[in-house]
Parts: sequence; C-alpha cells; structure tokens
Amino acid sequence: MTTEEVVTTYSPMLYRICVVMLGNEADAQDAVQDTICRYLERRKEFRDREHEKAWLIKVAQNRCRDMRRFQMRHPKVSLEEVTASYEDPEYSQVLVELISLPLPVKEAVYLYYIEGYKTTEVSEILGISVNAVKKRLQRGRKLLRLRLEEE
Amino acid sequence: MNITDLRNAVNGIDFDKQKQEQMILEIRAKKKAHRYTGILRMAAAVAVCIVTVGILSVPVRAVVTSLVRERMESLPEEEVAQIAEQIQNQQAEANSSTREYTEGEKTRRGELYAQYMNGLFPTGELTMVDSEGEAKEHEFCFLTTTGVFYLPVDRELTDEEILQKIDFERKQDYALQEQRAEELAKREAAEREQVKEVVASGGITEEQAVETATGYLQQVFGLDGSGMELNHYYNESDVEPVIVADTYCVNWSDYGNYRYYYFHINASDGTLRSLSYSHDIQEAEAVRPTVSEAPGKIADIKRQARDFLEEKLKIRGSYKEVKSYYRVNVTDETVSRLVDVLFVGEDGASYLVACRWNGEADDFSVTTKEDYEKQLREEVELNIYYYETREEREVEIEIVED
Repeated sequence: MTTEEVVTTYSPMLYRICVVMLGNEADAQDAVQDTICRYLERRKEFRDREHEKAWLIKVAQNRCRDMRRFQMRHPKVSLEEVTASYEDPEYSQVLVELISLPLPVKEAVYLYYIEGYKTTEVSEILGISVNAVKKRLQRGRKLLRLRLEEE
Repeated sequence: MNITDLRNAVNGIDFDKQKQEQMILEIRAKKKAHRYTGILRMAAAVAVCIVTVGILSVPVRAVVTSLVRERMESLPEEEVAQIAEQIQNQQAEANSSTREYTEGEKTRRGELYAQYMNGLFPTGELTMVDSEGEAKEHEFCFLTTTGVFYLPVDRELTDEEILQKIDFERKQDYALQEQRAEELAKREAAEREQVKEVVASGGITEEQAVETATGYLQQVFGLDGSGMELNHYYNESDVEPVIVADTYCVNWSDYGNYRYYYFHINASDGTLRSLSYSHDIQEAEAVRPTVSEAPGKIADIKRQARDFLEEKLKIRGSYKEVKSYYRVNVTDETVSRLVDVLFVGEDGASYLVACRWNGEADDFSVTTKEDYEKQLREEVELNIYYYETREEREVEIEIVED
C-alpha cells in the first residue's frame, strides 16, 4: 500500500486506539504516524487484512506504552481537549472513564469490547495469557461498572 | 454504562480527512529524514555483516554519472518492474549476505565502485535463484525470495562478482526510484515552490546551499565529492531531532566505502546548522576506553574538539563554558561510543561537537545548552527503557559531565 492508502485505511482506527491509550490528541497523532512509518519501512507480508490490522494495533500499542512511560515522567495534558468536541456529555464522561483506566486494563478492554477481538486473539496481540486477559477484562468491567455479560 | 455507550464514545473520536492529509505530508517528510537514520543504521550493519544496502540507500534524487544513468535507462521495463517487486517482497534484512565480507573484498569493492561509476561494468549478470536449494548449487548468487546474497565459502569474491553485485544494487535503487517517479515529481514541484518563497524572503537558493556544503566537505573532510552521489533538498518542517525546519539538506554518499556525509544549511542565512559523518561503527568501537580510562582522555578530547571548530569550521569565539558529556552504563561498566563537547557562547548559542574517544569529530551542530541537555536526558531514559523491554533487565546509566 502507498502512504496515502495506509493512512486512509488505518489511521482513523489507530488514532482512536492511541487517543484512548494516551489521552492526548497530539501524542496520539505522533503514535499513529510512527506506527505507519514502521509499517511502510518494514514492508512486512501479511496473511490477510486481519493479520495486517492486528500487527498495526500491536505496534501502535507498543508505541503508546513507550510514550506513556515518557508522559509519566513529563506529565502534561488534559482530557478536556480530547472530549471537547463531544456534544453529548454522557459520551464524554464514558470516554474520560475509559481513558482513565490503568494502561494494561485499558488495552485489553479496548481490544475486546471496541475492536471485538476474542480473548485468545487479545492474548496473542498483547503477548499475555488468556487468563491474564480475562483478569484484566474483569477488572476493567469493575472499574467501568459495565453491565456486560461474562464471556 | 453499557457496551454501546462505550463503542459510541470511542467512535466519536474523529480523525478527519484534513488530519489524514497532514499526516501523509508529515510521513513523506519523515521518510526523507529516515534516509539519514537508515544510513547510520546501515553503517552499523556493516560491522555485523548484514549489509543493508538496497532499500535503505535509495537516493531521493541521485546524481549519478551519465554512463551509469544511460545503463540504467536502457534496462527493459519488465526487468525494472521485476526488481521493484522483489524489493517489495523482501524482508527487513534485505540484501544481507551469508558471510561477512573480507577486508580484501571491502577494499576492492571501494576501488571497483569508483571504476563502476566511470563505466567499468560487469561482463555478466548476477545469478538469481528462487529457492534456498538452488542457491546452494551456486558459489555466488542472489536469492530473490529472501534478498540474501550467497557468497563463496572458501574464496573471496572475484572483481567480476563484486561488479555484478554493485550493478545489481544500482538497479535496485533505480527500480525503486522509477516506481516512485510520480510521487517524487510532485514532491519536487512542491519543494521548488517552497524554495521560491525562501528566496523571495531573503533566503539562499538550493544551489547556494550545495555550494556552501561543498566548501565544508572540502574544508572538513578534504573531499571534492567526486565518485560520490550527491542528494539535496529543502526541508520545510521540523523532523526532530534530525532536521530542523527551513533547512537545506545536502548529503554525499560514498556507497563503495559505506561512508556518508550530511550537511544541514540554514535556508534563511546560509549558515551551517549541523554536519555529520557516518562510517563503519567498528572504527569508533576500536577506540572506546574502559570506564576508569575515560576521565583521563577528556582534556585531550576537549582540545581536539576546539581545534575542529577553529581549524575545520573556522568558528572562533569566546565561550563562557566548555563542557563534556558522556554516558556510563554502570551496570555493564561501559562508556558511550562518543563524547559530546559543548561550547556555550556568551549569548547562549552553543556549538556541539561529538567526538570519538580518539578525539576525531563525528558530528557538529548549533544548539543551546538547554536543548542539548534535555535531549541527552531523554536519550538516557530511552536507553534504560530499551534495556528493560528488549533485554528484560534493568541498567543504571549515568551522565558524566566535566
């Protein structure tokens, strides 16, 4: 894919993940850009689109972890800028709660509930056991007070 | 909260077309800068045998001799397309080899490259095979599926084989360049417009920047650029930490000897913002001292850094402070490969000279003490993090200032 194609196809999805992981639009854009640059550099071959998407998500999440580490040492930002464009205050509050989750929990919750991956797939993307995924989801549900059915 | 709320909230995060277009432009700019870091990485790769030449060394606008250009332009379209396709399908380690090159091969490659640029072409073609089994039947060949050169096990490459390899690498560069011709043409047109604006607002032309950089190439390295490829372009926006905005980037690549020279010229006033020299990393490794030997070398390195400023760059001034910085990995008991010497001017503007431990300068840049120290701290944090994530161990890294 060309630069244009990969940005058009994947940047909105990656941007959403990165905003949720980082809670900051500017950093999220940087993370997406780094992820796409890595994709373009590697020219990796993928089995199919799903494999490609999972690879991009994994790279983006790793990049977000790197950036989070830096953010923790150099705190800045605010969630207001992320939620400023929301007309519905309820959604804005939901997003703030999601962004405020601890990162490991947030990663699992995002992949499972937003991207719709199965626990086995989440475990593969995050490089942790299925049990660990389930624990993180359980903790996420508790923290978010989600009324969700157990898997 | 229910799952629909959660999904709706996340889906409300919009990355609109305008942001996407902006990102495409930024990624293109970054790809240019990537040539810089990519080539640095390539110099390191030479030391470990993985000779990453093809993809990373694709010149943005290579100025090659007319003989080589004619040779490339006469290639059948099908062959160019086939080579481009091979590159796209290769792995990250493309153009690696099955063994390290001998010193003799490296020396002959340098000599033959210069002769190749002047029209000494191979008489035959590189043997290309499509499977590992086939590759093992040949002493010297290129496995297209993995991008690996199979080199003779018990003898050195002949001159003809080295020429075949050089020729094939040039074809790879050409194929990629051709494939991106349209994109490059658009980018160049946009850059020409930017340069017009620079000149209209009192800045220098791209030709003047090349002239200035050529002067520094001669002054600092004693080279006139012959036998090397010249690339130059205007960089409008920041691609930190490598290139700052409003800069002409002028680079020479000596592919034969894996040496690269980079000059960044301030487009507004024609002054040198930075220069760097990339080479076989083993040269710097060879002079790296132990932790206990390091402090004893600093005074001499500071003196040599000042000589570099005054004699090579003709920068003379009085400084309120001259400081050196290097990193010590306390856990592994090693010191960093380079020592940075910072000359802090009375007005705050500073010159940074990064030296190898034998005092030879590798990099120069104009900076401020604040910016430099911030960047250094970030580098240390990044280093620590790399150890944690890649080697899964904690290391202690100290900055030693003098």
